[in-house]
Amino acid sequence: MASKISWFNRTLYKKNLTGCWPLWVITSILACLVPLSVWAGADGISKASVITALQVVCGGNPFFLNIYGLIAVAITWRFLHQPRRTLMMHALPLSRNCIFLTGVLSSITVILIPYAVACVILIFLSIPVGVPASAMLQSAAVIFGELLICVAMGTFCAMITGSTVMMVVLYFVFNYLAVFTDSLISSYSEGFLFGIPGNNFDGLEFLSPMVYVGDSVTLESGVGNSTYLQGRLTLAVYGLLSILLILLCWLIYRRRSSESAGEAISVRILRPVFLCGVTVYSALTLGRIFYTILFGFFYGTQYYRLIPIICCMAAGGLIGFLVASMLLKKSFRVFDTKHLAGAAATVAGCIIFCVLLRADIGGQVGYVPARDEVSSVTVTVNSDTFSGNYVIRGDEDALMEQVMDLQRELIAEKDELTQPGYDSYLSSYYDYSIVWYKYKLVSGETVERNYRFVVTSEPLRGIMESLRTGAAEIRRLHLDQDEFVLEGVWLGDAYAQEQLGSVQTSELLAAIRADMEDGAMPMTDMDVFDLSMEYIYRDPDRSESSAASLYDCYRLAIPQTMERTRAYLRSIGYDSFVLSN
Amino acid sequence: MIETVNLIKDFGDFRALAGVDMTVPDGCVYGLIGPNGAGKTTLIRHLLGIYRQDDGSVKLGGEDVWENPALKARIASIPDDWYFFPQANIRDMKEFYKGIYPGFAEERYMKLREAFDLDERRPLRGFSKGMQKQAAFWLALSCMPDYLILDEPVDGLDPVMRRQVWSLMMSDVEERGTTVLVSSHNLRELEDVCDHVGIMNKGRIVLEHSLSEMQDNTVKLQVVFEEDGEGIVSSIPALHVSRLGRVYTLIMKMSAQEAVERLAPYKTLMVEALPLTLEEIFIYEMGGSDYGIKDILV
Repeated sequence: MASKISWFNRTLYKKNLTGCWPLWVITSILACLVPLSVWAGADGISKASVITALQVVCGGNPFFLNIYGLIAVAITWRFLHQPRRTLMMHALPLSRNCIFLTGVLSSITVILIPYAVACVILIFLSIPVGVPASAMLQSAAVIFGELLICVAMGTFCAMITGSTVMMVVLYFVFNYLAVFTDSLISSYSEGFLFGIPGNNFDGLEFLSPMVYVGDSVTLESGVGNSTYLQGRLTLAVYGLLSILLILLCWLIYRRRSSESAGEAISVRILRPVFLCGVTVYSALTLGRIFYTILFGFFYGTQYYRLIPIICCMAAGGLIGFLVASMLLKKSFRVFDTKHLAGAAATVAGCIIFCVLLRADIGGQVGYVPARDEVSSVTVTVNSDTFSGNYVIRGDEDALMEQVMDLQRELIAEKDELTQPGYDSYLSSYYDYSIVWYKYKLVSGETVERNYRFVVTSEPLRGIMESLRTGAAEIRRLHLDQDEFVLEGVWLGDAYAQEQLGSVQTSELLAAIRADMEDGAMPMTDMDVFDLSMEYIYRDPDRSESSAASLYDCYRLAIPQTMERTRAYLRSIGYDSFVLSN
Repeated sequence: MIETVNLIKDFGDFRALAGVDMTVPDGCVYGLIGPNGAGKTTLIRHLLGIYRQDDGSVKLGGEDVWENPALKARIASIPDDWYFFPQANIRDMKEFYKGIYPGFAEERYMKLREAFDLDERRPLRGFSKGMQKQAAFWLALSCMPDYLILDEPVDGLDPVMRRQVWSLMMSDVEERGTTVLVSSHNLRELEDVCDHVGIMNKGRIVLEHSLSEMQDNTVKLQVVFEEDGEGIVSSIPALHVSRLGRVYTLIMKMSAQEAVERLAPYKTLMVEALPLTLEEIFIYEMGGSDYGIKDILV
C-alpha cells in the first residue's frame, strides 16, 4: 500500500534498496572480514586490538566512502541521468519532496548496511573481553559524520548534472579541487616569481571536505584502552554544513527540470561557471604540461619563459573551452562564430594572467624585509658547491646582515639566474645551490623565499662563502639551540663510522667550539671527513603534529690548527686525520 | 476536464509550445493529432506533470497538475517511450505500482490477466515491443485511472490486440467515465474511437472540435461545371482543389449546405457532397497551414 506520509514512500525506499542489493551484500561480506581478522589475528580479540581495528577503519573511512559511498549515491540518483527513467519517476504520484527524502534516506541506508553488519559482529566477538563502548561510539561519530559529507557532496553533484559520469567526475573535482588549486598556484608562482616558494598558499585544503576531514579527524589512543576523538569540532562543523548542503540539494531538485536528464550541467546558471572553470583549469594544468614537454628541454622548467608559457596556456585553455562547450552543447560542432568570442577571451585571459604575474605588481620578488621588522631568520642551504646542507637560525644583527646581503645579491642577479641553462635539465646536480629563507617578523607573520641557482658571480660567491665563516659557521654546531636535536656524532669517514657516546659528544663539541671561537675552522668536504654530526631541526613555528622536515648534516675534517679538537680525538683513540696539516 | 490555457514551453531558444489552448471534456475520448514535431509529446508530458510550463496553466479536473500527487494518482499514461526497471517482470512492476498508486486494484489486475496473455515472471526486457506495450496497458488499466493519457498506444500491437485494447478502454469510458486523451498518427483507428479531435501544429492547437462537428464543418464536393470552371474555383475559398477531366473536387471549410449554396450562382451539371475521413480533414487542414503534400519530382 502507498505510504500515507507524503514525505516518504516505503515502496520507493524498498525499490532503491533492492535495486542495488548485490552492491551492499558483497560489501557487507567484505566488511565482515574486519572484525573476523581481529578475532583471528595473532593477538586475538582484546580491547586493544578492537581499538586498533577501529582506528584503522576510521583512518580508511574516507577512501572507502569515496568509492562505495559514491556508488551508492550514484545508483540512487541515476534516474535523474536517464531521460526515460526521469520521465517515469516524475510521472508517478509522488511529490518531489517525497522522492528526494526517500532517495537521501535510501543512500544513507545502503552505505550504513555494511558498517552495521561489521559492527554487530565486532560487538558480538568482543563481548568476552568487554566492548570498548566509548571507542565504538567515537568511531560511529566519525563514520556517520564522514558519511554525511559523502552523501551531501554526492547528492549535490547528482543534482547539478544530468549525467552519472559527470556526477562522479564532479565529486572528485570538488573533493580535491582545493588541494589541486593550491598545487597549481604554487607551481605558477614559483615559475613566474623568482624566489617565491610554492608553499605560501597552504590553507585551501578546508575547501576539499573529504580530504580535510580525513586528515583532521582521527581516533587517537589515550591512556590504557581509552580513545579520544581528534578533530571533533571539525567533524561537527562539516556535519552541519553537510546537512545544509543536503537542504540546498532539496531546493535544487524541487526546481530541476525533467528535460535536463542527459545534460552535462542541469542547472542553467551553473553552465557558465562550468565553462569558465574547465577553461581556467585546463589552461593552468595543460599549460604547464605542454610547457614541460615542449620547452622544458630547452629552457628548463624552473622559471617560465613568457611567450612559450602564454602559448602553452592558451592552447590548454582553448582545449578546455572547446571540450566544455562540446559537453554543454552535446555536440562536437562548436567551431563556429558563436564560440569565437569565448575562444578569444580564453587567449586574452591567458595573456593577461601571464603578463600580470611576470610584472609582479605586488613587488614580491624584490621584497627584503627591513632589519627592524624581523625578529629572527632561518636559512636552510642545500649546496654541494658550498659543502653540504645546513640550517642557520638566529636573530643577531651580524647574521641578519649576512643573510639579507645574500638575498639582495640574488635578487640583483635575478635576470641571469633565471636564464635557461641554470636548470636541472642542462646543469649537473653539483652546481646547484638552494637557499631557503624564513623571516619571522615582529608582527607575527612569516615571509618565506626560496632561491635555486648556480653561483654566477664573485659577489654572490663571496656572500655564500661568508655564510660559512665566523659566527655563521659556529652556528653550525647548533649549541644552545633547542630546536636542533643532535641525533648523533660519528667518527670516521663514510665507509667506517663509530658513534660516540653522549659524554664524549659533549666534550668533543666543547673542544670544537673553543677552537672555532679562536678562529680555527674545520674543513667541510662531503667526501673526506673525520667526523659527522646529524641534527633534526624542528621548526618552532610549525604545530606539534607536523613532522620535522629539516635535517642538518655537518661533516668536518679537522685541520692541525684545531689543536684542542685533535687532542681530544687522540685521547679517545682516533688518530687517522684526513688532513695532514 | 483536461484544460490548458495559453501553455508555453521553451527549450532553450526553441519554443515547443506557443500558447496551447486545449479543452478535453470529461468522459470523452480526445484524439490529439498533428504532424511530426508539432509538440504533442511535449504537451502530453505537461499533462502528466513531468514538465513544468514556462507560462500558462495545465489543469485536470480544475486542479493544477504540477506537484500534485493526489491528482497524478488518478492519471495513468502509456508514453511512446515507456520505461520498466531493469530485470523487472510484470509482477515486480505490479508490486511497485501497487505501492505507489492508491487506486491500484488487484482484482482488476487479475481480470486483465485473461486479456493479456503474458508470462508475469519473465523479465520485461525479454519481451517484444508489442508485448511490452501490452504489459504497459495491463498495468495502466489496473491503476483505475480517471484520466488515461496515451501516446501512440497501439503502435506495435497486432490487430487482435489493438481491438482488445480499444475495447477495454471504451468500456472504462462507458462504465467509469474515464477521460482518454490519445495521440496517434493512425487516424483511421482514431476516427473509430474518438469523439473529440484536436489538431496541433507548430506548438498550437489549430483546430479543436468534436469529430462530428469537424466532419460537418468540412465538406468534399465533386462538381462539374457547365463551362470552364478554372475561373470559378479560383474565386471559391477552398482548402484544396483538384481536377480530373471536368470533375472538380473541392474541399471546403464549411457545411455541405453552405457549400452548395455557395456554388448556386454558378451553372453546374453535378454537385455531390462526400463524407470526409479524419485523415483527409487532417491533410487538408495541414495543407491550409502550409504543411501539405508537396508535388516533388525526383
